[in-house]
Amino acid sequence: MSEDVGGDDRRRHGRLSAWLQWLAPIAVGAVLLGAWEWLVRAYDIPKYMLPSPSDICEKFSAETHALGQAWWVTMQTMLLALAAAVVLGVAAAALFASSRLVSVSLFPYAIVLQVTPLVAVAPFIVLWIGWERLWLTQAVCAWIVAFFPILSNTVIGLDSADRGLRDLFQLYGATRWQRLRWLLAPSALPYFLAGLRISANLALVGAIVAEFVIGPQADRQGLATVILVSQLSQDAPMMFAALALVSLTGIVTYFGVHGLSYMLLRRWHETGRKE
Amino acid sequence: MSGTLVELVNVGKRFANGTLALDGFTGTIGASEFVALLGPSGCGKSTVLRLIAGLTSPSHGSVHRAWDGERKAKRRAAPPVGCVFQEPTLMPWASVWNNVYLPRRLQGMCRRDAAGEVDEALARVGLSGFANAFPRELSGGMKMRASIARALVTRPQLLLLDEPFAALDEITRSRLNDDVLALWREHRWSALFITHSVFEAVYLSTRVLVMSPRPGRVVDEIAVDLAEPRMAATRTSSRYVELCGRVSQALERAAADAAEVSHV
Ligand SMILES: Nc1ncnc2c1ncn2[C@@H]1O[C@H](COP(=O)(O)OP(=O)(O)OP(=O)(O)O)[C@@H](O)[C@H]1O
Ligand SMILES: [Mg+2]
Repeated sequence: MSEDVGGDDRRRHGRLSAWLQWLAPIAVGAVLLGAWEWLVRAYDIPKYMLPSPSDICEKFSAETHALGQAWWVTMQTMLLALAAAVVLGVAAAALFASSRLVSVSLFPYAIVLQVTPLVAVAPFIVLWIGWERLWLTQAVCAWIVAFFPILSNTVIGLDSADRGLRDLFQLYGATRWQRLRWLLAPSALPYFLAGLRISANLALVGAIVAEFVIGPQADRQGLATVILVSQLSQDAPMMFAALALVSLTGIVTYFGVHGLSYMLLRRWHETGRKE
Repeated sequence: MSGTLVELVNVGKRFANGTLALDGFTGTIGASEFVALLGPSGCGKSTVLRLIAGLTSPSHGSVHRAWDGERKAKRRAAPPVGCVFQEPTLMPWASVWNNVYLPRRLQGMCRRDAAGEVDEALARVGLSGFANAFPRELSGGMKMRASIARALVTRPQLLLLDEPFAALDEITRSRLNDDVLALWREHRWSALFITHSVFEAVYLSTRVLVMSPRPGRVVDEIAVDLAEPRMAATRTSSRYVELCGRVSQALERAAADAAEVSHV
């Protein structure tokens, strides 16, 4: 018994901190929401200035359908943009890794894509793609902001492969494809996942900003349209409800990607190490 | 000597940054020989290994390999060389089994066909129970064993070992030395064993090549005629002590000569 105390202690400590990881942010949220509710009630702040959490909740349950639909529209744009960012980002990174010349000649233009202000170019993208396909325009705008972190991280990752392992692959006469598949890709995986974590939420922000810039449409109304319309009609609770949905989506996405990287890396990479 | 596997003739190697690593290096490795390459740090030992493995090419002189002709005829033939680097260089994302399978996988052999060889190689280095472990779950000595298993899996004619045990403690190191010797007695591949330990070089090899400080070349060659099989008792035999003394002297002489040259 006495010999076990150390190990047991450590284990209990580990479990406690795992609990804390979940409980602490929830507790912080509860305290903040409680203070907010109290503030609004105590000072009788009018709804149009700052709705209380309970007002927002009420709005949520009254407008579940409309909010859910708008959320789904935004999600579609975001997922499409993110998927395109992953496919094109990884493909471009593989291309860059295959040739030094390609890499040095194209990389600066990838940076151009990153620093171009979305707000400035969105109207042009609408013109190029056409008014009939605004969903595509939105996805392209969101893609522009989500693309670069995946590209640049994957490029760094592909370059990070161990020298000794490179020698080993050369010694055994590995083909280019084998080197990419069995050496470069696994080396790049942790870097790619770190990029994905950033890109996923950038795609969300991009999807909303794009909708803002392009303006409300009749047939496809996402969360940005809900926010715009509620601003115009001074429906503050609705606007906050939409914002809350954006925040929740961002948090879930972030931890979703986090969980994915943990699952893929836990057996071998430092980021997956528990103790 | 029945046949020469590798012959380096008057090899010089200058790197892109101007460093002259080797100058006039001449040496051979014969079939079933266990050659130790001994020299001070930075004298170009690893460069010799990389030249033999074909990972770099000489600036001067020539490197002949017995298998060069065959490989040209059959492009994806297995190079009959196994390499154990100074670090274990295992793929951290792959299990021990998959790490050992790698050389065969790169030759296009499917899992099922390679399974026999992989299992056998793991058994030879005593890692059968760790086939599914990941490298980070292994100790330093076990990683090195996995690295040796990977080098052996293709049944090479020549095993190149670059200070494989330099980072290990004395006990593990001498045990792995005995393991390598046992494998060698059994299979009689040729070996080039790089080390900067005089004792290790004499204990393991049939011939010691002593290198000068950089730019490296072979300054002395000492045949090691210790009784087989070598074991713990070998380390206390008078012949062993005498040979170690001779090799040490050769090494010191090379260092002194180099110092003299640089003073002139
Ligand atoms: N790629 C390279 N470019 C430039 N210089 C190099 C390169 N590789 C090795 N050198 C230099 O060549 C010399 C010989 O290097 P090498 O690695 O062969 O030495 P070594 O005998 O194996 O040393 P150690 O015992 O420390 O491993 C060193 O001075 C090293 O700095
Ligand atoms: Mg070296």
